[in-house]
Amino acid sequence: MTLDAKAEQPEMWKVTSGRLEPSDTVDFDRTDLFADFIRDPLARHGVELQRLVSGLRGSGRLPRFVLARLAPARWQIIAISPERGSAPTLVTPRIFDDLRAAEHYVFELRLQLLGALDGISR
Amino acid sequence: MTVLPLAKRIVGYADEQSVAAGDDLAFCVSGDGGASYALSVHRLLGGASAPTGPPLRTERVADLGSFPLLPQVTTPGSYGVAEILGDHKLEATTVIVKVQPWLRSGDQAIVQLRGQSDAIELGLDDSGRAYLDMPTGRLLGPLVPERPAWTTLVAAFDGARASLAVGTEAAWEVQDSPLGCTEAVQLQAVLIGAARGEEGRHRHFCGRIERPAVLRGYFEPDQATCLIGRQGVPSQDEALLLWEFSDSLDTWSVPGAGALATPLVLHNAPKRAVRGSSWVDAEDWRQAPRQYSAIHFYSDSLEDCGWTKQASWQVPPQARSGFYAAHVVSGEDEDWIPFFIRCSPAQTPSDVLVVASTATYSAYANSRFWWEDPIQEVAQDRLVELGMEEQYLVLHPELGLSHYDAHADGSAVVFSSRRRPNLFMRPGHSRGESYASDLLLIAWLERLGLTYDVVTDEDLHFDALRGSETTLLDTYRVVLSGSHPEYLSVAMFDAFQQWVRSGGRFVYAGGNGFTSNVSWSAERPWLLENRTTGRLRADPEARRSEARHQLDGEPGLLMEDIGRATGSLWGVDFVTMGFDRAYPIRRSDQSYLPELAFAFEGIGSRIFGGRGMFGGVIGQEWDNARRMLGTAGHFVLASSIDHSLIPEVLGSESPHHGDVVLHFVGEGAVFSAASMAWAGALHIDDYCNEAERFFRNVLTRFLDPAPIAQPAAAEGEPHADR
Repeated sequence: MTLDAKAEQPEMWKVTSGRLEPSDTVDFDRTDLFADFIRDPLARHGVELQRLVSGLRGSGRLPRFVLARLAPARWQIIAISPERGSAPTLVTPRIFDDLRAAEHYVFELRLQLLGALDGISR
Repeated sequence: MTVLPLAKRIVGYADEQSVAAGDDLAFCVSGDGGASYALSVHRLLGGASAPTGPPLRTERVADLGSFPLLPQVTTPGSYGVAEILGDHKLEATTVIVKVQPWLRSGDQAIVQLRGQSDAIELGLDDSGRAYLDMPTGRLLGPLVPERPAWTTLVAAFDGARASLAVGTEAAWEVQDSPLGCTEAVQLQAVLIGAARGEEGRHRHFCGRIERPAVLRGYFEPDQATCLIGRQGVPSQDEALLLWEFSDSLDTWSVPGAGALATPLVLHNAPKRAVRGSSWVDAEDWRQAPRQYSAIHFYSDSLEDCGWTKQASWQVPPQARSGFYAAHVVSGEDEDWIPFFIRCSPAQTPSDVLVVASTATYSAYANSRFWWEDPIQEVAQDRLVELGMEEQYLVLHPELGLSHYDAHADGSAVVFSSRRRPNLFMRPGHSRGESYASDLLLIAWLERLGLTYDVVTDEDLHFDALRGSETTLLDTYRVVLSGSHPEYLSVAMFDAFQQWVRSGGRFVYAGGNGFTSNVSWSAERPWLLENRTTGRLRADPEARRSEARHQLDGEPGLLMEDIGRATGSLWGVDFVTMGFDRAYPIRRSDQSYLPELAFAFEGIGSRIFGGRGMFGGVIGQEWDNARRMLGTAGHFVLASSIDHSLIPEVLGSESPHHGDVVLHFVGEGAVFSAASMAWAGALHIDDYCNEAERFFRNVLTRFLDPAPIAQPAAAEGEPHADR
């Protein structure tokens, strides 16, 4: 993995350049984009939705949510501890057998958390 | 119930990675304990890249029996140690050292003077204050500022008093104590950067240390700094031990000066060739070593797990070269411990040589950035999934870091070791890339019924360094790369180039290949150095002044920055990545030149390669020919189409499609598939698909010794119809 274009930036993986410029500042009035994502979280997205989704995924303000595989096609959503070696936290006891449902769940959770951080109620 | 229920419960590593007939190999295994495990050796016939690849096929070569499964201890953290011989009682003593702390984290030992059962220790506590621990108690000193400041610590003690000074020659803050070291310590060892006790090694220092010295006598700070002043070494009457860290900078041992003149042996990969307190403007440690008189110590670096070797195996004379693994099984738990057997001089080589990308396997070893850093979820446009290997690593950070991770103090990881379980390098790894994908290439070769030999990057590197007129490439007609051969050394690049120019035919079966320069330690060949890491390059100061490898002085740069552009040999250069999906390719106009028809025999479609484990043949990380278009002997055969927005999210500029290229170089030729995802498309429809046919056509033609006719000139704009 080589990302030389970003070598001059202060953070190794900062995602800022290019036409898309993802951002985790959410316009909560764009419910059309939210609905678009929920319709199929794994579909190819248009520019506006991709900017939003990538901004949420790359947000440094939120915990790192990941899928822990329990068995083939069975997952739970966990939050990685910022302290290496510490056990992650279970985000929900729900077990997912559909990746789209897990994506939907995390998408909503991120919107909720960012809304709270930015003082916006939904 | 644990939230990581699938985490592996048995892991291991081999003490060597590449062996030949007659060599001995030992396996080190750790598990939860209380049971036994069975160990068998297998030749891997490929497959198993998760989740939809063909099943792993193996050929059992040996059963080595059962062994008790025990938890083995791994202690990361770098340090230096001087084992003192003879009878040396510490009476009136002064310790002086310069430090640049990078992280506050509990007590951290800077210098420990170790006796049989007692010790004197100079360190920093959790609040950043200096301390001097003696058998009689702790003297707490002033605060030591964090980086970028350099600070001198002077600790003096005798039977009736002690003092701890922090500062510079211009100003000292001093803490005195009537508490002395009443019982003289019988010096047995000096540790730098850590402490050793009955319970093992601990209290690792995070930061840089410079010129530690132990003086005979109780000295005031100014006296001590005068004595060890930069211009020369104090007399042996006064100096018991002193280490100038810019000496023998390309080794893992610092010569000792002073009456005891004991070398300080470095362990667990601290970083040398870093700026010291006297750094002014040097960019190359070889030109101004005194500006690089510091060593950076870490709490989480790891060179060698040092586990007990329980099982060993001697490679039999008839063993075929290939990908191998030890299979360890305990109840329902298992692990595969990879290694490689190369062709021995007594064996007849095959026509095809597969180069196992061990530099890249090592660079990514035990990567944590997949889940620690948001970039991976952005790059794959879906949540990151933790399989059994990642779940184990989340719980076991002691197995060390990859070149893509950060040390606890935030600095770049520049060393990676193979003397530890590398859980990125496992058959069927959930990410399905690199080693796991390379097993798909092996499965394909096996399916074709081709014989092949295997060498590792490390083998090629040390072979090339011999400086012989012949290299181990010379006996092969075709070299086949892995799916992601990102890292290589300058010596390897030059050997590949010379071999192709002399008539070799190279099939580059991957993407983002041959991009970045790494070095191996001749002294400890299990260690790989890589100063091309994004994290190091993101720090402008480090990029300018600390990018030279300490092991061989080579620049830790992209190959193109040291006059070896990837495209000059392979015809393509890395362009971008996107782990969300992979793409089909469309034939270029120039691919219809009659001389290039051999590659497309049996292929009726203009667009093909749209199916594969990752969705198509161009994906994950890929290259294109943007810098090579129009150059002599360079032909774009096909290019990817229909890309998603992820490359643009990652900042890629257009054009960022992938190009599949045929490149004539000297008397030889290179075919570049130019994509990490290529290997995942071969087995589709039981190996009956156009991407496989295309790839097979090229390999078959490359194996045919008849000259490959080169078209007179490139005709047609390769991307005209995109």
